[in-house]
Amino acid sequence: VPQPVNLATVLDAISTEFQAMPDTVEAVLVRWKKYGKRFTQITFNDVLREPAYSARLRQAGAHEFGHVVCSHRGDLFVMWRAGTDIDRFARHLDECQERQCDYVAAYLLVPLQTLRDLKNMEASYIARQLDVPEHLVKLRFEIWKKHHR
Amino acid sequence: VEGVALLLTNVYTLTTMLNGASAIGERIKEWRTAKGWSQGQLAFFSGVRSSHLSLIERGMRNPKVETLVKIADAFKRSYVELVDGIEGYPSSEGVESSTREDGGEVGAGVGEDRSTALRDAQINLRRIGELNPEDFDVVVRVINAVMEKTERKYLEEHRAKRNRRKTSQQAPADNREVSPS
Repeated sequence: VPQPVNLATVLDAISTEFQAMPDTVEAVLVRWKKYGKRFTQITFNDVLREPAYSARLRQAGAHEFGHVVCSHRGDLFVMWRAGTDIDRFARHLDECQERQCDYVAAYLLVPLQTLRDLKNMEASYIARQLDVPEHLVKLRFEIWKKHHR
Repeated sequence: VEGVALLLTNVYTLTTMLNGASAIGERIKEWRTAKGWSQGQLAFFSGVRSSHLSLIERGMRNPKVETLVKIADAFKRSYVELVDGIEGYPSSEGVESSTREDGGEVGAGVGEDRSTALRDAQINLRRIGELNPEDFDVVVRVINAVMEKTERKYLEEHRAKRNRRKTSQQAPADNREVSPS
């Protein structure tokens, strides 16, 4: 099965670290300028260190990386944990940018070839195979159905 | 007689100042509670220390105009509105709001320096700021700590690189001096 893009090297180039944060916050990307240099820092919730949450960590990394590659204007982006009552925050977020980042994460972590190969399988099974969250697989399916790519 | 007059004038001035301080404190508290913010949140949005805000709100400090401008900015309101009808504070003349012209919407560009970045962060957090105060404070503390750490690391690396460059520049010069002609 074709595997997701390995973002470890890319994320190493960006400063990353783990910090204790509220359960509702998955990751925070902050950008600022000082000493004539632009800094980019991704901070993940400490719980994502747990091997059991490796799928969430990969998604959070890919999502935050999406803000960088899409050159989103802004200094701070907060990624909320999926499936929490944070949905009520959605109306406050720049939905377009967040959606774009989810797309980036889906493209990077769910190869189309894998979906083709496993199209008759449950999303949960594919998610386990790729070690990514199930909703990301569903999103990738949606993109495939909608845009044929 | 002159001494008593001076004393009375000073007492009057002091009373006016304290009344003004008390009134301004009450107004800030009123605005803050209307927003549902904790003092910590207002401190973050305005850049004024939480302990100082506490004293201001209780009328125990007479804040400077610059501080009031920062506080008014945090509420996205003007300094004039904040001091409106309160004695002892200068009018708006010469007082400029530092609120961004674009209204500081999310995605307003990478800040010029850390304080600007933080201001944007404040604005962004305010838009999504329905986190409970404890969580909010945690996120803010984490962001600040991480930014400081990253800057420190950069400075250390920068200094180390500079020292290495200096050493490598000195080395050939030293060699030239000791080498036989």
